Amino acid sequence: MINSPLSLEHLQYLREKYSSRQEGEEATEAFDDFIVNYTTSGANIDTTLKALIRFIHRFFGFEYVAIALRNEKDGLYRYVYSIGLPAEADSSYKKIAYSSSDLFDDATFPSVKICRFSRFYIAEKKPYKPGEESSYTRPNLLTLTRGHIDDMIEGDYIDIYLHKSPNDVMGYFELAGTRSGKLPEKGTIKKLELIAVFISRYLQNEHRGVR
Amino acid sequence: MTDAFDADKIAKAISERYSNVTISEDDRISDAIVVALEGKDSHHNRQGVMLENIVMIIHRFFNFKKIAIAIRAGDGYEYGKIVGFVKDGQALKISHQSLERIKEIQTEAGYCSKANIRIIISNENEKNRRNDCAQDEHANGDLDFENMSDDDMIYVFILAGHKDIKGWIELASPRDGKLPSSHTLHWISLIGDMMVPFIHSGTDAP
Repeated sequence: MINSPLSLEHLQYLREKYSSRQEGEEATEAFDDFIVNYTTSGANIDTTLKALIRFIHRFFGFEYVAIALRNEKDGLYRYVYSIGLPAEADSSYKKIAYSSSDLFDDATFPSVKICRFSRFYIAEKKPYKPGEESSYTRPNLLTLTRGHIDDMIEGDYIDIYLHKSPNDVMGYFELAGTRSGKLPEKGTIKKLELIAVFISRYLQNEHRGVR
Repeated sequence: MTDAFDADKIAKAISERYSNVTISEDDRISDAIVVALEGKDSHHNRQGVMLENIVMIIHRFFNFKKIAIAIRAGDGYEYGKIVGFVKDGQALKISHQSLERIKEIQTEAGYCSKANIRIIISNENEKNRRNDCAQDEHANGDLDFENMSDDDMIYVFILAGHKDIKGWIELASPRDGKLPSSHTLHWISLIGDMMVPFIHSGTDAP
């Protein structure tokens, strides 16, 4: 079936209808653009993940964003890409390595599950090992009292896990500090999980050489 | 300003804040896509289950009555999941679409709201629209471009790069008979693009 071209009037109508945007659509639209421009266009992992943290940093209002990945040789998780930390803290940060048992050690890193594979680490519960204070942006603020229950303060952070299979974590996004100073919206976490499930599959395919 | 919070009180408040008790429609869609794509490794037909879940999401949240997903198979494409195409569903299911046919659809007269979306309005619908307008004394010469006839189609291509078509989602017959909103097309475009690394055609199966 071959149709005749639409009239100019009709095309103009469709153009106007589909150029409108609802509030809050920018982030998912930018994610769609990210997929097209990086993961399906053949960019390498390094370029793609650097672009990913810039995208999350820009569109979701976090001051600090990092991706930790498991090194398949020693099985340890290390921060490989980050944005938003001062150079000194970033350097300390990238020296940290966690084992898989560290990852879910609730005694050392107490946390609250906030979504399907996201956990919130509350500053008051001191979710870090002794000596890791130097990896914070403002370690002198780690004892700061929370002024309001919906404040996001120094020491709070969120991890969103990247799964290879339901019981196998291949890495995680780490997010801290919000530009508003408030806890992120629920929708922000939902969208970040959407990104996490996609990136997990993308990374698996890249490691297997499948495009 | 509240009194000093103890850690457990904060943990409880955070847990409640992020619970699913009150959740927006967009958050439900996000959740459903995560579940559809996440899958279960142990399942022997992971791709088939994913296609079924995607079709259900589109049916439930975006109100299309007819939905089909075709995936590349060999040198052509086969329909992996079809819902609502009552009359020609069986014919679609056994059909093997050629790459040439898909390229034809890609270039067929219509409207492209995004690189992976093509809205095709049938000539018949266009003709009826003009007749309706001529007969409607209240139309003041304005054509109603909002209605979508049974022959109008929306194709959402699953593109790995600009030229590699892994498959497509075919949509028709919205429940309200109207063109989908910008918001709906925006979500369906994202779903199509997100499906790319989850689709395998046999040679690259995990």
